[in-house]
Amino acid sequence: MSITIGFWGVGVLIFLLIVRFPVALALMTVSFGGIAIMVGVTPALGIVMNTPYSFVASWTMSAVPMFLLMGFIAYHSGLTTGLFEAAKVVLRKVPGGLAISSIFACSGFAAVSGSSLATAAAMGRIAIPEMIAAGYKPSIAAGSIAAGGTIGALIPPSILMIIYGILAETSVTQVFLGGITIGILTAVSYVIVVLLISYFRPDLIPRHIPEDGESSFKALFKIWPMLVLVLLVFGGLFSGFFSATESGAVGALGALILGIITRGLNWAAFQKSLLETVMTTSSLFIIAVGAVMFTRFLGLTGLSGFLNSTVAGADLSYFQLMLIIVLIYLALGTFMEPFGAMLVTLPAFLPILKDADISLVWFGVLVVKLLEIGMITPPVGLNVFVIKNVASKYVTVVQIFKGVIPFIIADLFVVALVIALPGIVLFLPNFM
Amino acid sequence: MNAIFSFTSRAVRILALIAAIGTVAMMLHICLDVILRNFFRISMDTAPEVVARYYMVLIAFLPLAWLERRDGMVSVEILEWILSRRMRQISDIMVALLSAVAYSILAWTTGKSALGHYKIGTYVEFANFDMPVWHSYFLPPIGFGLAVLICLVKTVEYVVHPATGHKPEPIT
Repeated sequence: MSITIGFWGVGVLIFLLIVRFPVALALMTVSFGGIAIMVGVTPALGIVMNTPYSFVASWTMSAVPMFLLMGFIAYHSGLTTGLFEAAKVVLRKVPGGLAISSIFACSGFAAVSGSSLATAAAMGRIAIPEMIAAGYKPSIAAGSIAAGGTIGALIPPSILMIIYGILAETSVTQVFLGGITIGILTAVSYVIVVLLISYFRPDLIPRHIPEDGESSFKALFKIWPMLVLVLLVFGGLFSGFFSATESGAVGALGALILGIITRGLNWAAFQKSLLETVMTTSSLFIIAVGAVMFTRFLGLTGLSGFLNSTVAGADLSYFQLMLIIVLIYLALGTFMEPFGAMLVTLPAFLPILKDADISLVWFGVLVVKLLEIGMITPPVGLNVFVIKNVASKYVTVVQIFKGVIPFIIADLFVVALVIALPGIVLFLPNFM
Repeated sequence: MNAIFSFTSRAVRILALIAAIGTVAMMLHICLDVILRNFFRISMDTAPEVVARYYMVLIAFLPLAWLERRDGMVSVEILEWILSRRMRQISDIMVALLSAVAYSILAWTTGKSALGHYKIGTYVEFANFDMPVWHSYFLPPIGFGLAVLICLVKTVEYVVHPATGHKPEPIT
């Protein structure tokens, strides 16, 4: 009976999501209704009464708004604008140099930003007009940045990884370390894609770009604030000077001071950074509160246990289990926003993974990678929409979706590699 | 009606502003703790509790109404392209109304919890003193309560102006 209610709950949740009910409220409504049916209205009210405060009033979670603030201040004060220029000058002799530069610039931006959308928007504004002027096909120019933006959530700090770490009760620092590897792997795979296209289809990506005469030294000098910030945050974190939770606040203050020193941060930019931080934090936390309630509901129904025993009974191999999980996330990614998709699915997946003795650090890294693929797959590819917004006079949404196809193929190779050789991701976390 | 629109608009901005100030205070508080601990061997035992019980609750719940006003809640847009204009209007009204009901339950239950904590004077115990934290339990019902009001205002806007509907507030 309870399991039936669990299945009904999942069905109602999917219905509410399809009719555009906010993800957070859909999770809460289903949990409340389901628990009320199973054990009565009073216990259901008790969960609604206590969960929001008890979940949010957490010291560890404070890293989320602080890393968001660091990224927004770094972006709005222009600390990140020199990245593309520097990469461009260094890579001017490489075929497809502009696209490769933008991918490296995205990776650099990712080291101060935890968000894929912020990375895509920041780099899209600067790099797409320049690539198109240099003879790049607009679809590939925009596609490379839409895909490059996903590196923003892979290389630490990553908001998705922090929330995953907290919900999965695993070390956020270790998931961050795994994120470095998958971020670099992703960047390298995208560079290979650009090199291949440039070699086989020079009509899409010209092999060389005209030089603008700026010296490498001058260009590299522009990125000193970024280097200082990254060194401050990760140097302090990995040397034990401060914890992962505290590193966000130190990074935010560092970005603020650097913004003032470089005169990039004015009052309007600071205000905008703050408001974007509170808005993003609030929207993420309310979904997370909903997910916690949903986890309790699933636990009460016994559905999690049922799925667990079904998977165990089906005697799935590691690769079969992973294939199912990958397909579920790829399917969800086509229409769901990554936080919603992660928080809706984790309550069901985590017990199965624990039973299968799969490393939760490794799985966190994989999940974030899969969710980020969802940021560039149609029909709802948020990075693609962001690129459309910042480069609307150059490309259409359909052209961008065409442009990201080679990068999605590269992503699938990276996912396959990480599943086949989990040690690649776990090397750094195990080493530290 | 205009007075209600103007009041809610001003109230949500003030709450978002308080949350923004809380964000800066949290950043400075954590950094001060890190500096004092590493350079002066002074430990601020209260920092994690103040961050968790006050700043975090402030940042999470006070901007909720502003988020609703800006249509910033995350939802799945799979039917976005399939719905006709008329169906979309009906869906917008239903979503705003259902959201108001959901927020009402949240506001009522968390409000009841806040009153309970106020009555017993909830505090956190430290070695030298007790830090009262019952105040912070009132932040969730304030955030949820104003979100109810915003959802009702949005419903009225959708019904009264079906052609233009509700216009999300800009981020300034």
